[in-house]
Amino acid sequence: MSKLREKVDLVTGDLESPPEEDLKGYVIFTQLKMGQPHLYAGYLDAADDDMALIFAREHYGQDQECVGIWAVPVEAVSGTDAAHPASHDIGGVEMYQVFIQARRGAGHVSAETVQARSPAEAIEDAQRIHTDPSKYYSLWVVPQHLIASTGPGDVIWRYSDQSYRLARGYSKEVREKWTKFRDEGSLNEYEKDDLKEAF
Amino acid sequence: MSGSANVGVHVDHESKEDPALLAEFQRKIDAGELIEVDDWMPAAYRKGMLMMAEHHANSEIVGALPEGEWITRAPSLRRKLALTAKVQDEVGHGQMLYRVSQDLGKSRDAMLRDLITGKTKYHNCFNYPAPQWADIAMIQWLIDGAAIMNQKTLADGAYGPYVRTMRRINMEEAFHFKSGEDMVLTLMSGTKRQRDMAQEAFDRWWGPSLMFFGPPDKPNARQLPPMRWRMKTVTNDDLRQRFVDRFIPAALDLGLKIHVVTKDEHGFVTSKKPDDKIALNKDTGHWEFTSPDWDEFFRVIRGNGPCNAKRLALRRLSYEQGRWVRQAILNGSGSLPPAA
Repeated sequence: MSKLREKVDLVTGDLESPPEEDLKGYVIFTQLKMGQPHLYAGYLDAADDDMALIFAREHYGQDQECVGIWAVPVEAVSGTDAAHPASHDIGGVEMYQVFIQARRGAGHVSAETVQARSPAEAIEDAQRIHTDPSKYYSLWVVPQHLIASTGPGDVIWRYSDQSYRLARGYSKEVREKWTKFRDEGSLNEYEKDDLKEAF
Repeated sequence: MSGSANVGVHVDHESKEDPALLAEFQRKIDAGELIEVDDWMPAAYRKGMLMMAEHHANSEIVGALPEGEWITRAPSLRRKLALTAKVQDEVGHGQMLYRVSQDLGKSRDAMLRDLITGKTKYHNCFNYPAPQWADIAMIQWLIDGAAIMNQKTLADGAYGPYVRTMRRINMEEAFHFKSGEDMVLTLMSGTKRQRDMAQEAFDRWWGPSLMFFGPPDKPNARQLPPMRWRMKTVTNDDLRQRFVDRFIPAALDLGLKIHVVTKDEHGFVTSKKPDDKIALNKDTGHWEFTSPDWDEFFRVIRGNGPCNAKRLALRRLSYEQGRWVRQAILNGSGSLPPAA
């Protein structure tokens, strides 16, 4: 570590920087293969769409091979759940992307698009397609033009050797090294507590 | 890493909530249903979950500091890549957990400010120094190993957004732990100097690892809100026992010795003696061990640990120095860095 960072003195009292507004919340969806739906990956905070996509590529795009990312501002989401109330204000006709949540607590998955004049109307349209409420828990709709997306040819996943950042990049070698110290029985018992990577 | 967010979570159990709503909330929890952000929840639950998620988020980003110090000094390119990736993971975990906390009603900026002005805490173990490369190995093996044990049980909790974040975090922890094991095994398979270095680091980190799960439980821990509401699902002492049952035999087989140590104010070991309590109790099937020094634990929590000031100083410097960057991001490209 640089000596400079070692020698930082703790300043106490009020901060010099004034309090700041938070950045915008975004919901991130990743597409694992071309032609497949976009799956809920998680949330992040960013100043704008470009920053959201940059963060999303690094944070959610490197967990598993993926070909596309959508970043949706949280405020653009309307849904059947209480957290995202849908506006009834009638405007121009536009395309809405529908997302389906199969069961309580599950992540939303992209489905079809519908044309509507308001978020509430888009939800009604989506409900006419998904008529069996036992098949899903909640629906989201997002105006399609508000979804920031990576381009079709963008390389998100890095195809260089990344075994250094995966447990399976170590497992075999670690097991071999352990056998010099422990018998198979106690090693198996010990490895029972291991977590598996299962994205 | 991190976890053990239970430290410092005290939920006010004086409930003035509507009994019918409270009963329905408890029914959902007992039935194993997840509580979502838009569900009704008791004010004390919201406050407790916020404290827990915020403490966890703070721990992730402060936890990256001791490890980040070693990126430039990693002994090989592969280790450097791995450590860089791990530090990136930890900061990412912090980002996800701050998001969970924001949804419970506190702004991210307020959380960052409270952290660096000492109003909120982070995990105690990051107030200890990592003076050698072997400390990085031990942190990834013992502390990440402890974090995994804790976080696996937190992923069985009741608050949906936290549970989902925990599952995602745990997948990345699998790599942290395996690479930590690899480093420890490499050192213990190496020269006497490498083995000594590993032993010294183990002596520094064994105590903080035992303390990781928080202080001994109150006798009624299972009846108190954090467990009754499944904010946590296993007591501190049970988690600690699981940890020692896994790691004591592994450490002994590796040739490491388990010591009871005393440390100076910088966190360096000044004296050590073998922990003569270490033994497998054949009747219970559990390993016995000397409890860590809980006076030290509370002293460090109160801000008087070896590295408390250093960690906060660096966070504070980053926050103050990063102000122009945040302003540039928020206001477009017009803002320039301050003159040096």
